[in-house]
Amino acid sequence: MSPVLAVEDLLVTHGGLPAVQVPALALAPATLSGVVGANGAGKSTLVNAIAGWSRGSPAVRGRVLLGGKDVSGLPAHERARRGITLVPEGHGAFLRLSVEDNLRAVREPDGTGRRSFTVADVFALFPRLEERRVNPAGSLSGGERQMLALGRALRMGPRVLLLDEPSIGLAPRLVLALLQTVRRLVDDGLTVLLVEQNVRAAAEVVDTLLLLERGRVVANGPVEIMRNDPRIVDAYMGTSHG
Amino acid sequence: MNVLQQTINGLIIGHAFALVAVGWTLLLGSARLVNFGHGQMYMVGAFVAWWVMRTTGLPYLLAVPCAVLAGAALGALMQKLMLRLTLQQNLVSLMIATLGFGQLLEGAAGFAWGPRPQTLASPLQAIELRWDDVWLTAQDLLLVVATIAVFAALHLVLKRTVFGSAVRMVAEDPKLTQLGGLDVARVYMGIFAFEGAAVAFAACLVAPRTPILTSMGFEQVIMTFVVVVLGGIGSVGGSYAAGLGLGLFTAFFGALVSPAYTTAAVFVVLIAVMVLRPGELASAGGFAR
Repeated sequence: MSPVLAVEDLLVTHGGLPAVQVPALALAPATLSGVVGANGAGKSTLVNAIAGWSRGSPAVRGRVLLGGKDVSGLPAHERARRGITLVPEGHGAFLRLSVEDNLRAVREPDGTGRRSFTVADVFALFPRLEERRVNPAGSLSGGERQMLALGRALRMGPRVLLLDEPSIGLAPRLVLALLQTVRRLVDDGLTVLLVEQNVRAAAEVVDTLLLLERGRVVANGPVEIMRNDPRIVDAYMGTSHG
Repeated sequence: MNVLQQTINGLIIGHAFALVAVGWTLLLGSARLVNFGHGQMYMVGAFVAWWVMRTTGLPYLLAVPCAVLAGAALGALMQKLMLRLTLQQNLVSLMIATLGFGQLLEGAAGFAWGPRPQTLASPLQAIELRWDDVWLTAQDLLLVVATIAVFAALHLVLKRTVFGSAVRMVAEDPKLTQLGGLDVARVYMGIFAFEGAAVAFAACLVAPRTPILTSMGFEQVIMTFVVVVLGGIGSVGGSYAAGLGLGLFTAFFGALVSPAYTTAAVFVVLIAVMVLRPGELASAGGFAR
């Protein structure tokens, strides 16, 4: 099947220094791909570049194809409307808006046949959020905020969901619950690229794993093979972790 | 001194301060932006209304919407020119650019309309409402009612509408707003258009009280700045309260001491408040509260 999202000859530089260099990357429909690597390997830079978004001002070259169409020239909000939905690292919700306002204040897809969650759908998926619907997002726990950020993303009817370190700062039990929720969404047809520092947890749910080192893809393949790859085992699967 | 009359005067002046400042309140609270061309936009609003009345013979109440439209267009144009600086939140450059824009407006207005004082004549200014020994004009009453309506409408728009949510999101995190599929540049455009329209509207209601001059912008921007800062940067309710407080202070200081020193006295109050409550003012989080 043709990929939902493809990246070609991507080069991201910060102040002239290359940060990420990915010649080719493709995401098949309804798959969960994990991006792992050390801090500073360029994982966030990669997903941000796909979304055409950054808090800094990197220079991005190369092509991003969504359903075969080149979206590289489009600004972040246009890519978001077309279905490249990024949940950025840190917080993906507005802390001063209520839970419900956070869920309402996104641009829903307009008649493109994409499946988008209603606010009620999000509450059905995360009942905890419904209990706190009138509370400002700033009063939520870390786990609830991640639920809210994910809920906002689902409201937009993503064709590709880019999740940047959703587990950061969460208790191990919550990490697994969150990743299992993502897995269920993928089983229902969503395509997800997941940046995850917790490699052990990621390996439990992803279909493929991509290892990034100093901005380059050094290994990429089905998780069954990758979890035995010595580069992954040595660096990330040591018994002292997770 | 007639205390009741001074209170009424103070409330009227206070509503004028608040109405003139309402656009900047939104600008500062949402976009974290300043507009030091605000006073000159006030001046242009008043002069456009005056010019429309003079050249077309339209009555005052129909000249007001013309000036409001011109103000909105001016605000949108300003935003268009400064978009890059806005998106970068480059405050120092914006201060200088808006200050320059204001000077340009003042120069252009002087060129177009001359240096002489003019009168923006409102028929409501001649209607006096009296009870015993206190009085006000119908223009004053319109000013008070319109100010309350504008503040109430702004409050509702921010709380209840999609555009309000967009403004609150841009206020908190413009970058994150983009990821929700919203065009942040258009939100800023709407905010600037409101700023321009609101200050032109304020000018149409306030300016008939005194002669208008193309050089009158500076004093307006100074008072607006005081209202916005005293109100707690960007807080809608706070600006309304600060406008009223400042109006009452101006009226009573003028009556008890001297109107000549009112502006200086206002700044004494401003500095005192900033020194005594710096934390609260600095941390005032726009529409958060």
